[in-house]
Amino acid sequence: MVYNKFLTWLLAFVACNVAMASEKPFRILRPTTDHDEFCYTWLMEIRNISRESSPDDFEGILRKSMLTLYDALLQSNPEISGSRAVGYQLKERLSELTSRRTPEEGYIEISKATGNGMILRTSEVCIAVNLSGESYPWVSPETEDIEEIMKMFAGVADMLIITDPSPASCDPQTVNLFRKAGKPVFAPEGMLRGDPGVTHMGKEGVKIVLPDMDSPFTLSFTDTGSDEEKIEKLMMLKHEALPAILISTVCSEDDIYSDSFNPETGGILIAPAWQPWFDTLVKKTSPLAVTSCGEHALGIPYSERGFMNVSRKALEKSVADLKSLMIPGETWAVKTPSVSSVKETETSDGRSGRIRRFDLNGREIRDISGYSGIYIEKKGEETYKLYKH
Amino acid sequence: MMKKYLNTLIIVLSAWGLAGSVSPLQAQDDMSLFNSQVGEQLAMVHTLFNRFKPCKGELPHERKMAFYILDAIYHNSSLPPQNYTLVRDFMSRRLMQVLADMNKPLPSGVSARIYKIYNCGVVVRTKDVTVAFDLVRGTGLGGEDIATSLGQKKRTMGYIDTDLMQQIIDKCDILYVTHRHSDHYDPWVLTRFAAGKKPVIHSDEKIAEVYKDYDSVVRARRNGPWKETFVAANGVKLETFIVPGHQSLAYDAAGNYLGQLDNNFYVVTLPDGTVVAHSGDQNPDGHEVEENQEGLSDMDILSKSYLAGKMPKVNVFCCIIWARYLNEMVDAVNPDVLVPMHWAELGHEVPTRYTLGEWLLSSRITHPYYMYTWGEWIDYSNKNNN
Repeated sequence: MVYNKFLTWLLAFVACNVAMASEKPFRILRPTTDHDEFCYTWLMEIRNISRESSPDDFEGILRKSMLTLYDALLQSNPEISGSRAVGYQLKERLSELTSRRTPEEGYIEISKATGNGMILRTSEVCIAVNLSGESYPWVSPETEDIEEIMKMFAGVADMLIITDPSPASCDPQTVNLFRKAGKPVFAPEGMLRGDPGVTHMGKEGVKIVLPDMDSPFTLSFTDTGSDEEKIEKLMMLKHEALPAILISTVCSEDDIYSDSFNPETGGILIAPAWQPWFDTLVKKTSPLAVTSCGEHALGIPYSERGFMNVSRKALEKSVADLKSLMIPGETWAVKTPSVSSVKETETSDGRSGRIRRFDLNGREIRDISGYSGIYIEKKGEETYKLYKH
Repeated sequence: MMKKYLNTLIIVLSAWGLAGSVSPLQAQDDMSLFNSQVGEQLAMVHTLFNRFKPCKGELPHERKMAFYILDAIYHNSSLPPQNYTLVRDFMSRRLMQVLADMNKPLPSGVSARIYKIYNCGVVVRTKDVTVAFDLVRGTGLGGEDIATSLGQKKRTMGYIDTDLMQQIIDKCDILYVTHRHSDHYDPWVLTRFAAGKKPVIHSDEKIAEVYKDYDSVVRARRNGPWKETFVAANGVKLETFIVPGHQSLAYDAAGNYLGQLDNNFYVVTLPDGTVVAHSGDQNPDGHEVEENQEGLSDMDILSKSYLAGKMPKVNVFCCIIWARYLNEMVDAVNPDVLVPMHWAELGHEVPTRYTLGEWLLSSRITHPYYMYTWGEWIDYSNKNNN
């Protein structure tokens, strides 16, 4: 009996060492049965599919299954052992983002980081939004040095913008890294008070000149609430090289539905598609392109998190013409919308207004002033979607 | 003083208990959200499996993704018993398809259609007879005890709906049970077969004791491989080659060696000559030989040299994927087609549930195989060797 026990122990010990010496980039706790092993296999498959598919593919079953597996994986084991493979993968994919080439002129690239974090790039500017090292409850040895990656982002990006104080959007450590790198940090009023390195935006918007650029950069902030908790809601970016980009992370449902809430319509909307008010926000802002954020922000309670399949369905139903859904590390490239003409016109149902013609990814899109909505011209037929405020 | 000490002890013990039973994130969870997500994921798995049918050899990406999603769901430490209703619904959707198919005539040219039901539970259907192996409703740890007669751990109710399982049983003519573990042996299923006067062939003396009053429940066990003919409920004779193997070494809580659990390895010749083998949990340590004739170990017997001329040529081999000597066993049996079984079984603790991914990564199997899952089936034709 003692011999058997010893033999079992010896076999387990040898197996552990063999496993540890394998090519896996993280330490394996138990041979073959460790949850990390499963996660690692699944993440490799996710990475392969991600690299071969496009974030705006809503039809392909393979991409749908990839998003579903990502959901299942991240909720499959909230215990610490599940984090090693996930942590390793996040680091790897975020590292790839830091070394991305500058996009071609005329394109804007939107990349998804962790939590609510996004990276916006054009040929002229790189903006980090809500970038966060995310101090997850399950932080593992593999994510402890994620600070190194945040440092790289601080080196690459021209600025950091924070929309709200939720842990998925605001990471004080990352803020410090940007300040140390001499990069401006912008946050709404009521956040990071007393921090001299943070520029607070008022309701009227702030005009900023970037340290290493001559172009003026305008940030405007939309106040949709009254108390401090509800203030930080929506943010509008404008730059010569950027279309208007509306970023929304935390919105009060009441505010979104209220008649007085009519934020300036923008080119690209970044908002959590898994929120119940997402569709209303899309209709009210008439974006030319939409992408989602904040799925699986593990730093926030489970019941308040979004999921890939929820966002996918919301985006599928959304009236927006151009849309994407990304997992961390993915990038969506959109041709910068440009106004090609403006003219007065009348629609077939007797409505009149000023039509702006945009050229967006080869498609012509029009909007009519006075209405929230867009005209889409497809194959010579004029169809339109109009949503009155 | 004593009261203070007691209070502290209670608090510490309560905290310890809570820490052990509730995962840090899901402590604050809204389980309805969690459930809806699992429901969505299972729906995706169902869609993927239905759209991308079983195929031989390397899996297409879509099927691989379906298996991985299923692995991820079934390795969620929070799944049973909270989510067993979802799994039950999923299993019902899968098995309704099996039942619908069983009600149709077998296509011409098909010698045997092999349905996977759950874990190692398979039903082999030919035009003359329908044979079931290790049919269980699927059980999870904790909850209602359905196997008290053998003193096993408490288990939840079956993941397969009882009415559905009864309909599957109604289609079968005979049941082979490899061993008495609850992921292979379900007393309810066995009783339903016995009540219908359908033969049940098993390996275990404890099962024999429980069902001693049922003539149709037969223990088949000898000290070495042998051939025996069993008559199915519809009168069809099934020549069966049986290797009296073992499941694994067993110890009691004190670490005392209890011997190996009996596990029969069945090789059944169907009326048209198609031969189907089922390993159960044939997983011996190799050096335990006391029960075998001529001092041979299980692996000595399950070898090419020993089986040559004794065992009929196997066409379809339903085989446990995590056996210690998997490759040796498959080489010895040398089937035309391999059907890997026994992963993501919810009665096992999460770390020992095994995943398809593990198998794909670790297996060195060179024989043609069909990787498919519950509620799916493959066809074997002995005319064109499939």
